[in-house]
Amino acid sequence: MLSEVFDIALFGAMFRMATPIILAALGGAICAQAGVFNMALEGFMLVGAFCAVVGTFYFDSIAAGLALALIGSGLLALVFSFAVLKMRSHTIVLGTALNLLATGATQYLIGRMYDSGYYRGMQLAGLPNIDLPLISQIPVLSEILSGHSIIVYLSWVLPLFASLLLYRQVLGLRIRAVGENPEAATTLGISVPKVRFVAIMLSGVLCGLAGAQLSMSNVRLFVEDMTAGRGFIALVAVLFARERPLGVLGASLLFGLTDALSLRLQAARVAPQFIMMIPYLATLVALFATRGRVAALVGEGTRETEEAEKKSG
Amino acid sequence: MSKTRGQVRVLRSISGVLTPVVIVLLGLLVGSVVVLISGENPVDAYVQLILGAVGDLDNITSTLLRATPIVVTGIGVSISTRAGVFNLGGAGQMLMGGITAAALGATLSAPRMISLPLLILASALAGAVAAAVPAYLEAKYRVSIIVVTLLMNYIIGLLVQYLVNYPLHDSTVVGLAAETVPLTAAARLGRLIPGTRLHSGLLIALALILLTKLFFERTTLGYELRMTGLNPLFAEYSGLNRMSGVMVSMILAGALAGIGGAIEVAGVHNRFVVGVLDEYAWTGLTAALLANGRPVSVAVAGLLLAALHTGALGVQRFTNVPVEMADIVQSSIMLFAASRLGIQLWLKKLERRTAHAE
Repeated sequence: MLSEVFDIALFGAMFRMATPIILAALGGAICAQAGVFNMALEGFMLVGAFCAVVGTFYFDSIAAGLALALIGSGLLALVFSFAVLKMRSHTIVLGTALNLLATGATQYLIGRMYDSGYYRGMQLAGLPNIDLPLISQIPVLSEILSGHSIIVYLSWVLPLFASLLLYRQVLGLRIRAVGENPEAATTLGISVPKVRFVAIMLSGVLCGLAGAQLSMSNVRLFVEDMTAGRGFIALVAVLFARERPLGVLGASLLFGLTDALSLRLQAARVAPQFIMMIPYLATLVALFATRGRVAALVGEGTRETEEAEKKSG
Repeated sequence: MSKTRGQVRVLRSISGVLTPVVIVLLGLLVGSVVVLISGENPVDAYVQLILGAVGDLDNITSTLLRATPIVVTGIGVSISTRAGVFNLGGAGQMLMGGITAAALGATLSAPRMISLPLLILASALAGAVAAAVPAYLEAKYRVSIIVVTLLMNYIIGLLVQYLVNYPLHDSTVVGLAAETVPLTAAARLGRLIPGTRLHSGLLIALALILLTKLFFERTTLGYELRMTGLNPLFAEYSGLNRMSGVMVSMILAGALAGIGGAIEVAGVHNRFVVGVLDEYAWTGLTAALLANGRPVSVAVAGLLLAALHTGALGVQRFTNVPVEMADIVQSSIMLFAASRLGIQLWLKKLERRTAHAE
């Protein structure tokens, strides 16, 4: 039984399942470092997944699918940043609203397009699996590390880039300065809204990629609410990793493993609902390890809005 | 020219009413974009929406029936919101209440006078337990209540699916959605007016609105919770510690959400059907945010949102616009409610500009 569950393919699946979480959490981490609590990762990702399928279907091209995924979640990120930066929105309520809006809008549009809640395209092309040179020659490693979609490989490289960006580049320095002390950053001549805008848009693009992996590679169709809380799991990864990109990679891989495990255990004699609970329960346990860290993340945007709300009575 | 105190008060109450009205209008504006995309005329669609919501007695009944669980969870979540606690677990708490009502209601054979209070109490307890877990984690260990309540929605959703599909499953019914075995006659809410579908849950909802209003306005605990929400430091001065503030407000919120679920199960379906409770808690949350937490206003907002959803069924029947329009309008309303402050500032600017023009 155990050897059936814990085999080489499980770890391959871990990387595939972790990819959307890694990318979304990376976006969340960048936002958090800039002092924005981005609760809309779930909605960004869902719109990305939807647009990926629409682009692939209508333009008969996976490149168009990818592009549309980035545009779609980017547009939602634009709404988010306008609301937070211009309209002084309450970030938690805003995030919840955008997640619900993403659910409603994708359900409406998919219904209009295909007269049903889901699309199971017969000729819908997915992202091709790419074999890595050299590694694909090595027996065990090739099964785990090779033969994934381009987005999976990106999800390994992007945390490194994000880490370099945040800790070695001027923009990263600004992002962290804005997050740590917006007043001080302002006196240094840094535009807080501009920097936060960049961070939110980066999270939008990353969530677009995450959504595309869900609907163009992990499966090749769009189902309503197919993100199934992965955006919230990504939030926990952000908390768990203390907003550090490389930590996000590690935490997300762990959550990806629980996701892969629950897929693998579906054949077990336990009711499927309990198996499907595993990722959420594991996330809850991980969340417990982050106790005390919440205030920091929910931080700025919300606090500023609340203070302003009190002042205006 | 200086304004008298009376004038200021009138102006303030106008802006208190004006802001939610603007929020709803902006939401309806998004709705008309949806209508246009569907290739229909927004005016026609909104006429159909109003007719579908309140056009005849049957539609009014549907709206009231739908409003009942929405308002009950809405005032519940407004208790936690006013205490400054972000409770996004209404959906899970409501499911706990609903499934408890279904499980218990199928076995109760005592007279209605005993069965029904027992059913409501048990459901309230189930909802309260579901809310107490994240509240305890937040209060004792500072684990984010926002994320815990969200994750618990998924866990409770799966648990309920398991219960409906296995231990409580009614295998005699073949339908799209799984159902539990029906409630006994003694466990069902009685008809309010014979011949209509209105049930006594409506009275329970009215009583709960009144009780919550009295709780906030007349009890020390209610006052302290309200003040804690306005200023967290207040709690420390008043002696109400943070822990009990979070716990009490969440337990009350969960209990109300649980009752909301029970009312729907024992009043409308007489059994638990997977999926029917899913939207109500989010609608209740939207009502609470739109009304800024006051119980009577939450009830009005809940009624309005219920009308939006029943009306959208009418729109779907007579035009090309699908029922999802209501979800889009509702989440837009929540989106604009999140930006309440920005909208208020914008309205003030407009007011000043018109004042200058005069």
